Amino acid sequence: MSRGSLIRLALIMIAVVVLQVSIVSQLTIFGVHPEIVWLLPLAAGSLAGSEAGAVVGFVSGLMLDCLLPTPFGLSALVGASAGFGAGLLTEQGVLVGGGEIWWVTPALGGIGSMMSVLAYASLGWLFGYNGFFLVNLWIILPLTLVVGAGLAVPVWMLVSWSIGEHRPRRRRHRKVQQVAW
Amino acid sequence: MATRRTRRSLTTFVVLLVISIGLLAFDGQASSSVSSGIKSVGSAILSPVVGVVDAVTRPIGNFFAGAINYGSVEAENARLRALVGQLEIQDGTAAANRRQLAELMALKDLPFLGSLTSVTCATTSINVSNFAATIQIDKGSSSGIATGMPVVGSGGLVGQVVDTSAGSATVRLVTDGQTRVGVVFGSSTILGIANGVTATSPMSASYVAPNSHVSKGERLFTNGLQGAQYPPGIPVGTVISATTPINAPQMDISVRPAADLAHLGFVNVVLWEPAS
Repeated sequence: MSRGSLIRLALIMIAVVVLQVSIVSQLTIFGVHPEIVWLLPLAAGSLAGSEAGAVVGFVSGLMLDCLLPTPFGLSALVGASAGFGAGLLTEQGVLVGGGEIWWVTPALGGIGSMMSVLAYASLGWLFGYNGFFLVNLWIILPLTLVVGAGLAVPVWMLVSWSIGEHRPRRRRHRKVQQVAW
Repeated sequence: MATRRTRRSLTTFVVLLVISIGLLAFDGQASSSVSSGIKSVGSAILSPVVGVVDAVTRPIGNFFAGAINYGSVEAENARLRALVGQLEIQDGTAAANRRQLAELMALKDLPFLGSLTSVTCATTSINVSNFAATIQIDKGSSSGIATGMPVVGSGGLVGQVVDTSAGSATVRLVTDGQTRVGVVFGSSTILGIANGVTATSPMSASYVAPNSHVSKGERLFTNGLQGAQYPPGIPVGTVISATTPINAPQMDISVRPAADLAHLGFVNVVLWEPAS
């Protein structure tokens, strides 16, 4: 990735993390708010590959950890996993590119964000933060699904613009091979 | 080629996982100067940006929040109108009560703070994370506020300062899942631990022996035992239910926080640090 791409990506990461902590955290429904920051690693993973996804997820998660009173390192862990997972699924051809089928990007954004929140609560519980499963997950999860799906296309466009020409190598015809096998 | 690339991705991912788990494992430990250092630097860089964006976007956020919660705002308005009506009726007796209150205050000053000094702060944001019950306040280390100091509001204990920068601080509320407060029940000698659960749930009290004389409506105060995190005598909450399940090693107690956590426009940080 070029220096320009890295700078653009860093600025987008800062912008999304700041938006999450400022305006998005004020948009509460029943005392909870959507979580949009997970869209970044998902977009980077599906557009630039698993390695880029993991790094973007780790860095944006660490930024979020610096601003939140939650366990330090937990957002970085979940972000890296989300980005790596999205990248791996794309590289292996399980996910067809978002530009080819219109609903893939919103679906990946919504479901991926929701899975990230669930992973955050589960890992928090695993590390001894028992209250993480007692929060209103039944509202946070669908809220994050809907908002993630709605914001996926603009976030994908931003990340795509920032990384420029860099694209992951995909294994094509994977599904056909799987069916035949 | 593809295998080499996949291997490199996997190596990067594993390294990032190990770093994250390392940060998590050492988080909150006194020896963890690395994680607290990273957090301080990151917070110092990003917090001013968040502050500016927050100040600019707060009216937009309030507008959307108002639109989303229109029904509840309408209900709240109706409730407030009814309350204003009641207050107008009580106005005559309130004047006499105010005189009594002024006399009492002159005698006892602030009852639960005693001789402790405090700093009044405005709340700048509430619950920035879905997974933690916290508030941000507009004063920090430059006003003498330090990590560990208790925070009180109208009615009693609000929480504890968990993070400070020069001009702001983060307060973990008593309802947060990580909060533990050593308490004494009413004027008795029964001790226990009040635990936060979530921002929207009542607190619980643990380590109270079965069938102790704890009843509904009893108030809990900080016990101030040696090494306690809070000075003694600050109201923590009121018991809303207390039962002893069959064969249970301790009572099952629910507690409503004493402070009005739904209205935290201003809070007082008590300039008292727990013994290390």
